[in-house]
Amino acid sequence: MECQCSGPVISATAAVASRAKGRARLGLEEQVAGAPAQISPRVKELVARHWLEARYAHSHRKVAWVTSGAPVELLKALDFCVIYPENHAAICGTARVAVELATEAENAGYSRDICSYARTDFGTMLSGKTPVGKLPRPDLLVACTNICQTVLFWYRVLARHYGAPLILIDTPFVYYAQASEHAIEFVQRQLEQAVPTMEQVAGRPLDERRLKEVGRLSRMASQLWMEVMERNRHRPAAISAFRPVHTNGAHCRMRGDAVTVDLYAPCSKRWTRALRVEWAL
Amino acid sequence: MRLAETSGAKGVIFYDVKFCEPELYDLPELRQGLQAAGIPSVAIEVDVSDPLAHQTLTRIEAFMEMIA
Repeated sequence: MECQCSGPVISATAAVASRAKGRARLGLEEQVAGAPAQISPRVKELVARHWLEARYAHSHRKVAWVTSGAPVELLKALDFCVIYPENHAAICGTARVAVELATEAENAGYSRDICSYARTDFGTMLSGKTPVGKLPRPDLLVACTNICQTVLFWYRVLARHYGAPLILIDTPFVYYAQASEHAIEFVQRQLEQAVPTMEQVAGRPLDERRLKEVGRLSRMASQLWMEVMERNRHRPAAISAFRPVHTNGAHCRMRGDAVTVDLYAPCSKRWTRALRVEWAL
Repeated sequence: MRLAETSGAKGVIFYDVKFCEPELYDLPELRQGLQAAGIPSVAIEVDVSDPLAHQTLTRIEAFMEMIA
């Protein structure tokens, strides 16, 4: 309610109340860390560019469809355009077309009880409809079971439909903080066996120097991301639950690219500053 | 397909347990293959903890009558 009275005390009170109201509109991060670091628009820009590049990828690159957790570093080093059907399905969800696409899959006989990510993906596979313009056909499929076993059945359908080779990386569950020696060796052997197929599809040999560079950038991005997530050990938490979900997009699909490191470095700095200012850490 | 051909099956009943992904992902292609070979099929979905519903019995009976 507007204050109709005049006088210095009342004016000052109204000014304080108005400032408090202004502050209340800002998020916790903005209050303690100043102007936003424009991270969300940057993520949006990177993701938009990724899908635009993917649309025309076939003119000069091979395309690999992968699950989250797949060894994208090997594919990046071989210059594959990497597509994540899971991320695509999430985009379909936010673009409100997932139901329409899932219906396409259900009409083709896929049960409503199977994973909705898979049904959305099959909908695009069968109808060609997608909110990202065009999804390039896969030349190679790489599924990693670190997230769920469903991806194996899902990618087998894709492999039969597109006639593309399927590489499966089976990852044992890590019960403790560190994977056991034999678990690491088991996965390492699978990665070594996967390389010749990847090279054959890419039509070029794996360049060790390029792989090291991609690995270095990937590790840097991962470490920065872990730093960002570690901030939330603090109470009250500096980052809302939703923010990591969409900021993680770059780490998921552009791990091994320099742009991802460039994105997370200010994230980490910004959220560190937020905690230092507010809670004097 | 080989099993259907060698056994001389006139029809195939897919009796799928709900949420059983290893079976459900292959179901559409299996049914398409059978359809192409002229073998009718029916997909019946059940839950492991459910007793046999009369609706299920009716569907199986109808399918039997169709292929008989």
